Amino acid sequence: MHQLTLLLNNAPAALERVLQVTRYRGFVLESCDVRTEQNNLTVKMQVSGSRPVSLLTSQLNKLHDLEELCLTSLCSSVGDSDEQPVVRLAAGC
Amino acid sequence: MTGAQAILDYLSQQGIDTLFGYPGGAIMPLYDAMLDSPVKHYLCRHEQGAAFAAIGYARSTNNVGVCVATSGPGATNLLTSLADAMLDSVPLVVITGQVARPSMGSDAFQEVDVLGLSLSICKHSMQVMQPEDLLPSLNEAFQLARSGRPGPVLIDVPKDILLGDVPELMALPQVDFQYPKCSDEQIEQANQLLDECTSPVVYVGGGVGMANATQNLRYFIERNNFPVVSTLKGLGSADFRHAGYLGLLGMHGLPAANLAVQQCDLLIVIGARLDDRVTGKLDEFAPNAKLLHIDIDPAEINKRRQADLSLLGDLNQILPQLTALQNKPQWLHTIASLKQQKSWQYADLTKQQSIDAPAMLRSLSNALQADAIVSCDVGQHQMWVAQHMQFNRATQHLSSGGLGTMGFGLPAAIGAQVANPQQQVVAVCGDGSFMMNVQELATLRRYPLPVKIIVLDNQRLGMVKQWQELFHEQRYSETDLSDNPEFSKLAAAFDIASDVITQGEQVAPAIKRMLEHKGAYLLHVRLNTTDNVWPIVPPNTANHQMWEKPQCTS
Ligand SMILES: Cc1ncc(C[n+]2csc(CCOP(=O)(O)OP(=O)(O)O)c2C)c(N)n1
Repeated sequence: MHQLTLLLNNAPAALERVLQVTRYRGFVLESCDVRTEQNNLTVKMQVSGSRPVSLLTSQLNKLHDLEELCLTSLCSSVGDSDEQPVVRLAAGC
Repeated sequence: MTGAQAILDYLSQQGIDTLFGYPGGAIMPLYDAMLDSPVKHYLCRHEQGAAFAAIGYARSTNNVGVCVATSGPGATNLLTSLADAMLDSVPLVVITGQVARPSMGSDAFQEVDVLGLSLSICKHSMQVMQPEDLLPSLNEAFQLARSGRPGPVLIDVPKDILLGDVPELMALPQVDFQYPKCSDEQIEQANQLLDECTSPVVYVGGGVGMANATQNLRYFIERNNFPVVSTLKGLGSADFRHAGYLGLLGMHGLPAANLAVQQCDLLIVIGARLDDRVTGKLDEFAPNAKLLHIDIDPAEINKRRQADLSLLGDLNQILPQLTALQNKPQWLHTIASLKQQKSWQYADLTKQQSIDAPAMLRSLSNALQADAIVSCDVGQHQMWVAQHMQFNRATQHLSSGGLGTMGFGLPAAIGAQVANPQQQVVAVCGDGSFMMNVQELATLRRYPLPVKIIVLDNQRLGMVKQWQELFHEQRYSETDLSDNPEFSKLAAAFDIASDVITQGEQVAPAIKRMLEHKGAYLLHVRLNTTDNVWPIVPPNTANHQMWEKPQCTS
């Protein structure tokens, strides 16, 4: 299980996008908490899946509405090599 | 100024003078404003055709293509093209009209949630809900479409915003994109990998052309005498005259290209994503190689295969820094003899009863001008184009790679011809695919555009038939198209000149007549119904175990 905390620009469909990417890349949503503050949306979600979580974070990182992403892995699943917190590295590509 | 006028003003300020599209209720204000705008609109005969034309425009120029459609069915007709642009990283801005804001969410006439539909097939999608957001969103859409790894951006605009006043944009804000960059240390490590390897191969993808990095790539290759292979979208980036050039790799790759990759000890992947059509059985792909992966998109690194080293960033900055010098005479000798041993022996068309498609396409390639643009559809003929035609630039080969969309060829050629009025543009179509956007013959006539169409007619959905033959025990299911229409009559109905050929000796004169003809032209080429594409790597098989010739199948 992995915990992801995302800070999003509160644009239409921003949350849908996150959920869609999560499903499409092969992860299951275990829990999700969403808060709105002015122009931002904070999403805390726990996801599980058998693939390395970097395959999910690297795709979430591409979302234009994403401001920040933080990953804490709660327990390692098979094939996971990267357990350290990952912070958003790049936008716009 | 109304929203509609503001959009067109913005486009002309940006130097965008061409739109492809189709009108309808919700987008009518924009069509009305077009009457007073210098921006030229090309009416295609289906929104999918319009968006493919915009893709052809974009891919043949390396610029953003723009396409417009109405809400509801107009928008849903665009979806296939958006997916095509997404999977081939094509910079596109697509503007859809939406029902007026007060009606949104009421299942109004021609209302669909195009924003929702587009999410997974666009780089980004936006819906403009306030008049003051219109221009900033449009501006952002253009910048996003071409930044980093390009892609399609959709902007959905309610009709009342198109009709109402919008505030002018004083200054166009530059969106601040952060690009990945690689460190000096990584560059040093890459140079070290280059130094240490004994049998390197460069694997070129579509990212090279899109990054305008062809010169730097060629310099990098020539300086080191690297053997080089190419993906479908990479064709044209590396110089096909280079001694170590081996051509297309992958499922229908040329034997020398696949064998070299399987043997190499360093695979230098540049602007490519190790797609499954390239790698074949993944865990047996380039089994002895370390992987040096160079790309702009961090999400492609380690997605399908772990890289030993990755360099993220702009190819034009990275490639010139890879200065380690290669000289591996033994490996170059191996490559040279592989290339020679596996070189394609073209049939002599003048001695052939039927028409051999590879030989015909090679003679077409030789007859074309050096800057000619060739689009194609999807199937066997697409693979023959990739294997046997030669391109000087990636912008000259328009092929639907990632999505593999039948019906791409004709509208993409239309967009390319609009963008490049002086260049030869040829669409090589399959008889099945041609019928998928055949309505665009009307667009050729309307403007009129001198696109040359070659229909390679095997009276089959050839590629599917090939798989039924090889992998489904010759159980042919719904792939017989022997009841095709008479293509030359179809052309005649649109005032397009045509010719039909059935024999090898007719090929050269027919190509000459076609290319000398001033306007649009359709050359109907009858092929054997039984021909197949060779080599083929069967599913779940390593690339070196490709079947090279028909007899391998029995
Ligand atoms: C829109 C779409 N539908 C279905 C397919 C599946 N498909 C791939 S190749 C092919 C046959 C194409 O036939 P044709 O255009 O005649 O070309 P050929 O293979 O005979 O050269 C089909 C049906 C596809 N790629 N795209």
